[in-house]
Amino acid sequence: MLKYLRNLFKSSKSNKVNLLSSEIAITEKIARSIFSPVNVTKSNTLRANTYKSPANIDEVSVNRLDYTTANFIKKLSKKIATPPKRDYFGFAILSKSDIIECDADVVYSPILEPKENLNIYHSDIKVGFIKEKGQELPAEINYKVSKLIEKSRFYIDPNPNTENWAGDDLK
Amino acid sequence: MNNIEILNNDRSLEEIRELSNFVISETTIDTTSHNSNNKVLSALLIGASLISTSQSVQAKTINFVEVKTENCLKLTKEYDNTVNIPFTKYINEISFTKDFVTKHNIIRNILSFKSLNQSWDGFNAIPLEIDSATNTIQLIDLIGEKLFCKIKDYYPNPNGTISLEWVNNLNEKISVEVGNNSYSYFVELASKEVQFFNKQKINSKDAQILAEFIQIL
Repeated sequence: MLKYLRNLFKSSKSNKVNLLSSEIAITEKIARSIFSPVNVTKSNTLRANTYKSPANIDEVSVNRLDYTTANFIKKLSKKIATPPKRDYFGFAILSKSDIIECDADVVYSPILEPKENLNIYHSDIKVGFIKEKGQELPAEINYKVSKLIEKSRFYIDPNPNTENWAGDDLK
Repeated sequence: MNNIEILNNDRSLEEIRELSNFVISETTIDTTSHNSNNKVLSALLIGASLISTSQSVQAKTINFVEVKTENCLKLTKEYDNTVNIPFTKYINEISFTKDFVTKHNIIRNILSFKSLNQSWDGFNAIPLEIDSATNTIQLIDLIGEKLFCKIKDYYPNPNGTISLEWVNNLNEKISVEVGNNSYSYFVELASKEVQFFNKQKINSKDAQILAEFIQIL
């Protein structure tokens, strides 16, 4: 009986996922994965589509860098890359205060299912507009997105094909 | 058979000079120093147009003459008489200017956005919408190719629309997003408050206003 209870306790403990605080601090660094060529110009500057949602949602997937590592986010990014059409390229970094200054927001939205995609660092940038398929963003929202781009610190991965991040510290 | 490639890149003259195997001076590129086992000639030019051709070329040297145009390095070539006619014709058709954008290129690239797969950005983006593509092409005609081709960048968006951007040296910007039924844009000029235009119709009246802003830029 004791053995059974002990095993039950162990199994429930191993299923527990330690989530982060839902409150994102104003100074927290937020990382957006960047892919080439879709998100970058020929001169390796960021394009505004970096911070645009798909249709029918207002969510731009990012990660809370302060709680994880560049290596982890790089691994996630390479998982969804499909070279050569979509190559992992680097990161764009914003702080929550940068996002707020652009009249946007970032909310904590951990991914818990399916288990193989578990990501407790995941969050979403929201610009305050949900557009339909084929509908252009209002000019005011596009302007907001352009300001997010201006505030972003863009770090190109010097060795995108390796497992680990070997670039500058992400600030 | 020899091939020639003229590569477009945004490298500065200083960067080009570092590639001393190829560049003799700022206007002359030595083709004979290339690897003799690989007869592909790669010439790096400042602001040249990206072309590649499988035409046979046996030029020994290609000389470029700089034309006095601001922000533009216009290049002409002299070649020996072994360069065959198809290549000659090709060279005559292209313009060695820094801003090599033509209506043909823009349309071709816009159509290529249509072939993007579902989730092309890794985050559930959809391919370019046909109506957004058509509207953009129509806008080129309404604005006029000459103005339109001063465009800095254009790219697809995750919900099937297209963005177009004109930016000048002062970082003043016009950013347009074209959708299935209309387009919107903002104009950011240094001396003025940002101006916003929404639900613009694909017609000459609305396009005229946009064209005037592009001209100011």
